[in-house]
Amino acid sequence: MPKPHRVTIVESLCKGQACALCAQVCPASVFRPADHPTPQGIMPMQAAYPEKCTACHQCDQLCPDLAIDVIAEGAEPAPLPARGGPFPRPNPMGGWVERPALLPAGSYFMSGNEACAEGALAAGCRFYAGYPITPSSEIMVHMAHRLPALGGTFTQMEDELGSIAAVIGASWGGVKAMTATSGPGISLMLENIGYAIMTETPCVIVDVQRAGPSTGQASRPAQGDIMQARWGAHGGVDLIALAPWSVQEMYELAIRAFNLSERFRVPVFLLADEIVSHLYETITIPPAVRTFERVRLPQDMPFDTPEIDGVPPMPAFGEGAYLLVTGSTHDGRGYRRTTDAAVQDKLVRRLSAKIRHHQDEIDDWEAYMLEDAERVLVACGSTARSALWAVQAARRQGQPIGLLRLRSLWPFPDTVVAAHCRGRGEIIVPEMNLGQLAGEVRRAAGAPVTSLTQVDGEPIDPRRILAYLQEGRW
Amino acid sequence: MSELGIVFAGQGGQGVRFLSTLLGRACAARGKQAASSASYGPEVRGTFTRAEVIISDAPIVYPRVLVPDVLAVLSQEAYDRVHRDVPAAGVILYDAETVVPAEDVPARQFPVPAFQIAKELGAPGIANVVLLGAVAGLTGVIDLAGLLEALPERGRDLNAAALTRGYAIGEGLRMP
Repeated sequence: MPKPHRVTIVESLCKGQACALCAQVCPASVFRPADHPTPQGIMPMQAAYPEKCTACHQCDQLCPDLAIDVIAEGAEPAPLPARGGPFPRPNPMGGWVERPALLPAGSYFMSGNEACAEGALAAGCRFYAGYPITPSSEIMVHMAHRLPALGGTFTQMEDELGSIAAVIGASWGGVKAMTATSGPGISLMLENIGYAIMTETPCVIVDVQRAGPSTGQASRPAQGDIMQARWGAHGGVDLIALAPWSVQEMYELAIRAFNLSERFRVPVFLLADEIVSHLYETITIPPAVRTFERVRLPQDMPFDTPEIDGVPPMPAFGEGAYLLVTGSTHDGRGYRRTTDAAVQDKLVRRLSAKIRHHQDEIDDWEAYMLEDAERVLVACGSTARSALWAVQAARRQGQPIGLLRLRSLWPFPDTVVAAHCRGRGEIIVPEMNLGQLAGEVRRAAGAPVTSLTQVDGEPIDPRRILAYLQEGRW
Repeated sequence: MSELGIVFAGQGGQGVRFLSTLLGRACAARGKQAASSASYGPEVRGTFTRAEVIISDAPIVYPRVLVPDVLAVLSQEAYDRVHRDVPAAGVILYDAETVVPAEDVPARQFPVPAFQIAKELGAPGIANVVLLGAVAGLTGVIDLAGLLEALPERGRDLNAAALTRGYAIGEGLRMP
């Protein structure tokens, strides 16, 4: 005697005939393909003969998409965690908010690494996973001290691969998350940074650059990771990188890194260097900070938008949305589409366009004495402090020199560089590597570019730059 | 006041870095701009270590000391490596017991019995703090009270005694 069990299939989750595992496993032949497609163009399965069901539950346990519910006779139907269901967390719409800075407002004397950690905490970071490495370790130490009391999670991982993986997982758990390391650690993280780009996972990666390649000089500064940050992960899609030049900016740009990361659902690099990270300086903590909160909004498309350059909302696991997260090419719902040319093309172009088309929100720079400058220094990070010292000294001697300091490095601020450099007599790019920044400036400047490189693991002595400005000697 | 650049040098483990941070923190608490940093090798103890601090009323552009106004050294190796950087207008303070100064040095040089005083206080490890007191007393960049306020809780009494002794020596060395 057949019993009146009920079998339901959520059509928007079902992969249909491409899967059909339910039909294969069902001993009672309950299932067959439906005769109408879903809005996504899939022919879902349907429970065509529910009266035959024996409530053996093989189908709902096997279904890879959790699309089937078998409700035995007399059992209360479980509430369906449908997409677009109730929002279990406040502020599902996300966006810009103002929140009090954690530390009391005022003047402090702290190191760049401590300021970076404090900035992250003020931005709402509540998860840190890392593996210690000079010259970034103090960030980790500070996070270990501070996070538990703030209700956050700190964990030391077995290595850098695990660290970034844990950060990505925490981000999908709905938490703002970060890690910090130096060049050797970035080399290990690159695979999963690519995964974070592909899965559009917000996270912040602090790279306190030291002299390389390889383990190089642990306690010495460098700027050799500029290209690694941009091109290290394969696939060549955009991400964002910021370069602080002071302890104050270690704090401010850590906050900005989180904001941009949440705004664009992309990993953001904070490209610091040993000089600013170990420097102790006077900094000012403001009473409040502006932060961008994640747009959570559980809905059908966590991986696509109607716009070609949109940022989809990002629900977290456990908030009622069905989530599939994969580094393989996927459609808007997260299903693998690893042979679909159109899906791959659309995805890769949007991953890049969502950043490139919003560069006006990202580009960040400061101009010093550029109005009448015939020659312009372009620099970033702590090197820009050497450059500014040289510019001020040259100005006192009457030389018309200016400085363009880049605070955002990726996406490279082409229009900013062009606007400030075009038509000048000479663009001079000092840096602690073999010319990585100079190459980008040369591409964008529209003026002759001179590259001044130093790779001895020492800070660039500003008197060296001044000597070049005066005598052309480097 | 224009920028004052102070360099501390010694062997890793002597507390050279602690000095620059403490002086920077004390001056920052008095509303001045301060920037302090250190350079050291991967070995923690025993090798040459140099720490420095810039104190200024205006924002500090280049955060490292280019020409030291004051050099304070705790070991012969540190003295040998750094003393030539100090110009004629600068001052060198060196530990009287462990350092034999060179003679052909343009800068003014003064011995400070840092280790001796530390031993008198029963803690040879705080010779660095005596030397810091002497630097502060000599330059007047910060008053003794401001320095004492910046001391960490741990070992406060001992450090305060060392600072006070050193400060008095430094004041005695000021140019009339």
